[in-house]
Amino acid sequence: MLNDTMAEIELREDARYFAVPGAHLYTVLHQAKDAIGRVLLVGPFAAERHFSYHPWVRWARYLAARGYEVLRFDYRGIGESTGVFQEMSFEHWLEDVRLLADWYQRRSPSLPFLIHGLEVGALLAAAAFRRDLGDGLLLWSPPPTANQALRSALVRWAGLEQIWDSLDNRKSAAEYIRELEQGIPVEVQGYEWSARLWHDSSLLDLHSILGTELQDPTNFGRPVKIDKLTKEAAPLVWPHLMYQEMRDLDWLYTQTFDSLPNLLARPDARLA
Amino acid sequence: MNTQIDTRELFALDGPEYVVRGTYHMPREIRENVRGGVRPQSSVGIIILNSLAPTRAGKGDSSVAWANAFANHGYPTFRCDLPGFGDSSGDPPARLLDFINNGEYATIAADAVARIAKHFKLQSVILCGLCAGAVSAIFTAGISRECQGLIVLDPYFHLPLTHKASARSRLAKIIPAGTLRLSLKRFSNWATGARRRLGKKRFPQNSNHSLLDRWLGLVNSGMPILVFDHPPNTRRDEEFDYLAYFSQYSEPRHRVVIHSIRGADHTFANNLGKAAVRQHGLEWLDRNFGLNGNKGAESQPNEGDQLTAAGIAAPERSGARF
Repeated sequence: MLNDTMAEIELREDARYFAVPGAHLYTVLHQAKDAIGRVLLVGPFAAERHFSYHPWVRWARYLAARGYEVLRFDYRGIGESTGVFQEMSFEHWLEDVRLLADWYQRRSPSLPFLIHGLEVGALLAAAAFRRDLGDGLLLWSPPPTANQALRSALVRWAGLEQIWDSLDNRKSAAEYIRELEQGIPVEVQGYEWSARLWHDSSLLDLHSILGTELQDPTNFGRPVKIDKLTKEAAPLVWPHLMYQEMRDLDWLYTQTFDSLPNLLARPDARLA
Repeated sequence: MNTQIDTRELFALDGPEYVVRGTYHMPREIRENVRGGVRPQSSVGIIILNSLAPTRAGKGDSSVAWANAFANHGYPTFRCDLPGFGDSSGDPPARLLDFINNGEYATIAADAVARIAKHFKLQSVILCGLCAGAVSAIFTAGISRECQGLIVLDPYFHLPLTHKASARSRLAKIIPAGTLRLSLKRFSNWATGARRRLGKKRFPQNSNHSLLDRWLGLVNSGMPILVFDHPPNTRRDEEFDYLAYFSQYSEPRHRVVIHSIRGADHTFANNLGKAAVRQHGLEWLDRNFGLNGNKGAESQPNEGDQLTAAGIAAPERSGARF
């Protein structure tokens, strides 16, 4: 398997649209020969997608080359998926994850199925897992709430924006936050954040989703692993850091890959 | 799951060493005819290349917005990830900037352009790119038979500076920081700018000469070129303004239009930037590549003309992989 040429591996990547209410999700299925498991990758939010895309795709290819079939996708209104971003909120994106996870789970039910989320995607992955989807859950750097992730992105962006904008147009992150709280949409990194999105982001809370299981993930009855990535994993996390450098994250892939058998083959893993 | 929806179709170009993936935005007329069972195709297509790090969606999904707008106006539009980016195969070259600045994506992009044009029965193609994507688009336009026009956003014509201590910086080391050093720096910047403005027509030492040769070749050939620039708030006097230079030495046969969009950022991904590219892009497209196959027409075709396009053919639609 690992001796396959890159071209052969690429040819087994199947990009398609998946219909959801009012839109089509862009999906890429990374097929694996003699698959031993399946992974649904639930990616980061809006602008972070742009920065972390390459290492995210490489991770999918890494897994596929080693026997895990992988499905990755863009949320409604983002990237290659259709839909209008400013009309979307977390309930739509959670529905995206649920519909895809449900479809994927039923596609080949004999294979163990891992849901793997990154940053805001980790919150959505956890919420889908909570609704009885997936045999295992892997979270990379979930923020405590989606609002915290949005707030960090806004602060970073507002800081950068000051460099390029004229003195007359400069606003602090606090002013943008005030506008959002007053119901005024704010455009961040080319995406128009609605007041509703800002409001709903406070409701997506890791503690509420995982509850007491957060203290002891074995309470779920299915394996859960939460890893906090350091800036060494940029631009998967810390997205503005060195995103133009093609950094070698094989150490992270290897480390995570080595933990997958435990995550999907523990006695409490629900193997259908 | 489908590779095609109402407005778009996914495609993959299989090459010997790479796979280029992309999205085709169907023009409105095609979408309407698809439902009726007929699949006409206008003759001028737009291909948007990805820029340095982003995917073919562009920052803030700006390329998606432009592709939607161009397609809704009648132009088949394609967004591609060059190898090493987005969903295409492989990793970027180790020395990515050198690779781009030397025009090494040109043969790959030109091959993609030829295959897209053949498959979708396009008579000509307009290449579009931002920043590093603009550099690749310029190099590609010079070798692509199908490419008849360019839309470039914030192109750069310089190479990274190799720092060599100038007389000024040597002087700065012996003059203590303060008013005198600042005044000298300002004078030096002013003098450099003035020398550029008044002196001989010559490019700075760190210019990308092979790119400039390719650019000037395209300009002198009369190729219609649309340039978007955003006036930086912090351009220093000593920086060479290539676009101002091109404007200054423009000749009547040149067909370069430059729009400087105040309030846009480098990526044109904010609302203002997206809208400006959409609006000026469509006006320029209609003026130069009216959908009736009237290439080079200077007058704006009316909407009826565009919709009853003469240069229409029915392409083979044999699947998403070619």
